[in-house]
Amino acid sequence: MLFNSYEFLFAFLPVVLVGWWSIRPPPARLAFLTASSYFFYAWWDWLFLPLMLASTTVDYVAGRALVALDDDEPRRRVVLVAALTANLAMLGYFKYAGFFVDSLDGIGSTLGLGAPFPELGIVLPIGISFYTFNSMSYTIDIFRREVQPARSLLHYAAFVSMFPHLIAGQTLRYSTIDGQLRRLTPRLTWELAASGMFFLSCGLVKKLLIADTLAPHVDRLFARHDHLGVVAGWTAAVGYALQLYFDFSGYSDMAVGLAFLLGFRFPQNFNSPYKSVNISDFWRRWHMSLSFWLRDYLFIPLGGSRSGRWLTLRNLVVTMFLGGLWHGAAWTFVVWGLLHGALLIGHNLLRRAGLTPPWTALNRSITFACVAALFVIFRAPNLHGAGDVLSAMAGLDGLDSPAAVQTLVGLPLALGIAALLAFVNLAPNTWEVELRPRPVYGLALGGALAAAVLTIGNPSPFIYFRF
Amino acid sequence: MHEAVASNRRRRAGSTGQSDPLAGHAEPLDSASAGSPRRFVVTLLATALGTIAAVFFVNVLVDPYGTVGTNLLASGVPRDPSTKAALIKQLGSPPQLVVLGSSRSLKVQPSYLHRLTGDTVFNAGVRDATPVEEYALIHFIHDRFPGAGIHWLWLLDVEAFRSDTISPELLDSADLAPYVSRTDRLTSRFKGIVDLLSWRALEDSLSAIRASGHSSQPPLSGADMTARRIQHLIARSDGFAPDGFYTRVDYDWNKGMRKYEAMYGDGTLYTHLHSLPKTYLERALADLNRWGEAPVIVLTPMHPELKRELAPVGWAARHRELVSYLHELRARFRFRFLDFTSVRSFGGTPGGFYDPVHMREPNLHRMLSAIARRAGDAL
Repeated sequence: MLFNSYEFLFAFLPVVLVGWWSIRPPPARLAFLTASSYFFYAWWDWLFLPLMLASTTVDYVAGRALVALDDDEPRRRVVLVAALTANLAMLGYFKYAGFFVDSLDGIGSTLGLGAPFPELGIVLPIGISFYTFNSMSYTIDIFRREVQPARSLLHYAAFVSMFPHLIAGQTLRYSTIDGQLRRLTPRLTWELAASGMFFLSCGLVKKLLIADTLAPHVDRLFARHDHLGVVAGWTAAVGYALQLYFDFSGYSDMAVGLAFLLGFRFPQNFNSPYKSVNISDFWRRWHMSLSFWLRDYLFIPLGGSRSGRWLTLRNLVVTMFLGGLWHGAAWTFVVWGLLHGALLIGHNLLRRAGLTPPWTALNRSITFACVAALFVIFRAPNLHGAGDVLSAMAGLDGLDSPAAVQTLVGLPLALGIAALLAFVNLAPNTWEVELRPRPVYGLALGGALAAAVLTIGNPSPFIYFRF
Repeated sequence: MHEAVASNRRRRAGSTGQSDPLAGHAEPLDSASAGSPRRFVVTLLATALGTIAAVFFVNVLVDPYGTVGTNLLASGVPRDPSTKAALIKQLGSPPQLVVLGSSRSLKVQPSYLHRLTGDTVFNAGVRDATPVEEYALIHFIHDRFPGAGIHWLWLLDVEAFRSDTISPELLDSADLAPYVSRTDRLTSRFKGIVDLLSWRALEDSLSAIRASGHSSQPPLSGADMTARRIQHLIARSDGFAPDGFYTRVDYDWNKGMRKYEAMYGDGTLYTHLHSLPKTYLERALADLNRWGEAPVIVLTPMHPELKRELAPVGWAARHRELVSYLHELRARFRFRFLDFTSVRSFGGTPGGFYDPVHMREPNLHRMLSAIARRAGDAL
């Protein structure tokens, strides 16, 4: 079920909110929320529900075992390794087995052996990357003695399955939600409702009015990747960078808004990433929950930046490589991650040498240009298509003819992209807006919400659902 | 364990600069903030729901797609299923060959096919046809002319399997709709009503209102296929000749490109062959075989430029899936299958298109000749 669908907005959400705030005993409330979340997930395909239940059970049991073995460090390690192996095996099979086999077939074809392995045709369970990472962080945090185990399986299941973040939301850590699950908000205050409606409306407007409006233009440009000149190439890249930002940050805003409506607080996931002044800054502002996850569970355990310059650079590349692979089982994501690793290394070296420009506007422009160019690889169906767009952006395919600019770009799209660029550079983000709960703002936001909802018609999924 | 957890949390908070596990979390409005959260929420919801309700009300009243059946204004959507059913009712004798298909089949000239096969031909193609429309048309024709031993040329699009919804045009046809199961009709009717919750439907409503100012035609939507209504349909017949041939030339290259680009998007919109059209295709084949008839199913071509664009965003995968599915069906049903998705496969040319999918006469003739050659006695 999509947040931007009639069945969610006019049926599922009202029913869940009425049920959640009507039920009094906390265990019953949690059971209701968990059941609702399972229903939300099963709406897509109930066959994958057992997979999520299995993942939940494995990490819950591992958490209890880690506490029970508090004084037995070797056996705690065994439990940790077993739980992580189970999670990674599940993720590896459903997300990466097909990619691995396809790659072997590709090598086989290159060597003239044909395609020795059959096509696996494994369907990727939606949200598996998100809930697997959430579950792994729980077990690792208990192993590190940084978090108490969940009070009950119900508490833990509610955390893993909670529908606002389940499909593509923040990669939540149990420590951030533990206290909130133990002390559920007793009643929906007007303040909570106002905050929830504000974030939910902003998210819907971002997704439906901006990202989905840009999508067909961007799709058209990428579909003609071998016919682009420098203008159309940059329009494709910048258009997609904006589409992706409004799509994913829109989802994150909606997740925060829905959490408020249920009395929970979620962390910020985007902090005006296109205002970043360098690539490290970008990763502190873009998909922050994933960046922090990779930092705390991968980069730091690898040695972080405390093991000397070269090991730091190696750790950056490894982290970004795996970060890229997390996004999808395709060479485009691998290359995208590696190039981000290379940019981080480049910035690290320049900063140490004191060679970074002192002008904020220039730094922002360079950072945005790099990020937008690399998003071309992220978006393209394959490396060949990405190469076409990037070569067009570099001017290798020449300047577009006026007719091509008119057909492929057009004035409305150019003006729209310029306005959105100004917006993401100058306007405060959703979290920085100081909401004054006055009726006139309610009127404006209500109008925008209606405008957004009435575009739903044929809802398009969020881009990050496929990860 | 508890002490260790608390100590580790403090240590980690110090290293990451986050002292509160909820740092960076959204805070609800302060109850002391200026304004009234209650009035804010009430105004927001009232504005949003009021606007949505108003748009829905206008769309229900105008009923631009004939979904609700208010019949206040003429629907702006061509009613091909109703028109074709009306034309079939006018046939004095059964056709020996019936052409089924979408808008891509509308320019198939029955007279040309007659020259090729010697059969009397009726073109039963309808715009945006899926196997559901074909199933209803096959049954309608069979019931009108039972035991006629008709040959069927079924021009099938790869895109005919993109949705699980039945078109309002079919649901609105009193002759054809009853052949579709009640559950499928109700589900699609409900989806059709939900579709009225949109700006796009409002735009079409406004177009219908504007068009009604220029037209003296009575509304043609509704349930009853009365004799008067049949006469109107024949008189108005939306550009169809009595043998079902579409006489107009109203194609637009750019509009066609946009339609198909929007249909596939970036590869996330048409991700699999939907079950409803597959079910009706199988039912149609089963019934035709039971009546002793074996159709010729031909996958229709599109312009190479459009195909090149759509191939990486799902067309190639859907085409493969459909071909494989049809091959599987050949183990269960009797029918001839020809894949003419490539214009070269029947000797067509890229220049022989009105728009990305609709072929001009020379290309159509080449395709029909190739079908007649390869289908043998099936036609």
